[in-house]
Amino acid sequence: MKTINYILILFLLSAVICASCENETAFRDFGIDTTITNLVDQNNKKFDLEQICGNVAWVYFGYTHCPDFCPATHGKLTRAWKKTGFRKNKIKTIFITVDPQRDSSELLSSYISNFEMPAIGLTGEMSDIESVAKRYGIYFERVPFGKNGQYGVNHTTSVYLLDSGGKLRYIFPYKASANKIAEITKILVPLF
Amino acid sequence: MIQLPLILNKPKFITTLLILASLFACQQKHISVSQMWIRKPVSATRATAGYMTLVNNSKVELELLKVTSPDFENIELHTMTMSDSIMKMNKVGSFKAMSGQAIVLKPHGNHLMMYGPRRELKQGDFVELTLHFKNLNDMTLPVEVKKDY
Repeated sequence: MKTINYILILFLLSAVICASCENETAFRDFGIDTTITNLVDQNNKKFDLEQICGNVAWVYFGYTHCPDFCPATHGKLTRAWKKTGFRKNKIKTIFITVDPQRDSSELLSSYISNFEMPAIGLTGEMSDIESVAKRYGIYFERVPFGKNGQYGVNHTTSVYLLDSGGKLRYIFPYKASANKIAEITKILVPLF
Repeated sequence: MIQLPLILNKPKFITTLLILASLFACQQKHISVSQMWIRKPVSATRATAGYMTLVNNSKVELELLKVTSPDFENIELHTMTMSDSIMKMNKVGSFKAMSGQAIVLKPHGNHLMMYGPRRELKQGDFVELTLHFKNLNDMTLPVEVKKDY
């Protein structure tokens, strides 16, 4: 009987260790420089990642004229944000444009106001956008479409999860559901 | 004065009937259309996307050449591909479907790229789209505007 108890305890212990190992591997420090410099928010004020220190952040890149992924991603993040319950005040969403030519602070302000979730929309000089995008490993490329100079922007669609210290800890692929985003993010939200 | 039954006095009911009637009339023998909708443009932006599924019930290849609408400045046919989480759109000349196959336009996939809405589009509005095919008559459809964000 004692042997069976030992085996049972060992089994439970290994299950707990495996579960914690899984969490450890889910999050990692990607070791990238997540600094966001020289960009302005939708109120035309300079933004620094330090301003949201103590909160976790979803960072994604896109543009307001995007017909598909960007409104869908912002909508999905809004649904995920709602699912985080009391933690939602500690989650900040940062939308960095890859189309600064069209995306002024005013346009970003109007765009963001369409969604229930509060967000920070950032724009700036193309060279500064390119620097931030390079640090995050973001690809974007302007492609001519339509008439009279209309164009689209091909771009990376992932959402980057930063912890409360500004470190990149997880990358959500575009297929990640609102539920998954909420569940993973909640683990990183500081309670105090 | 003739009194209409209460239900027929409701403008929404009559609008729905008209839309259903026009939808029915627009179904060509060789094509069936479903899952049509247009994403409500996010305010202040000048582009959005439209989606639908066209099933080719004919014996020959179906080819969608272009789409026009009085409510948009221009509409293009776009493919969308994903590779390493990078989204790439490309303008194409047409979408094709062999007999028994379908042209599927859906979120995160091939779509109608719609530029320059000529009026403010609200959720629940209907936009008239005309589909132009090779070797088939044009088809005009009312397509609903939906907010999915």
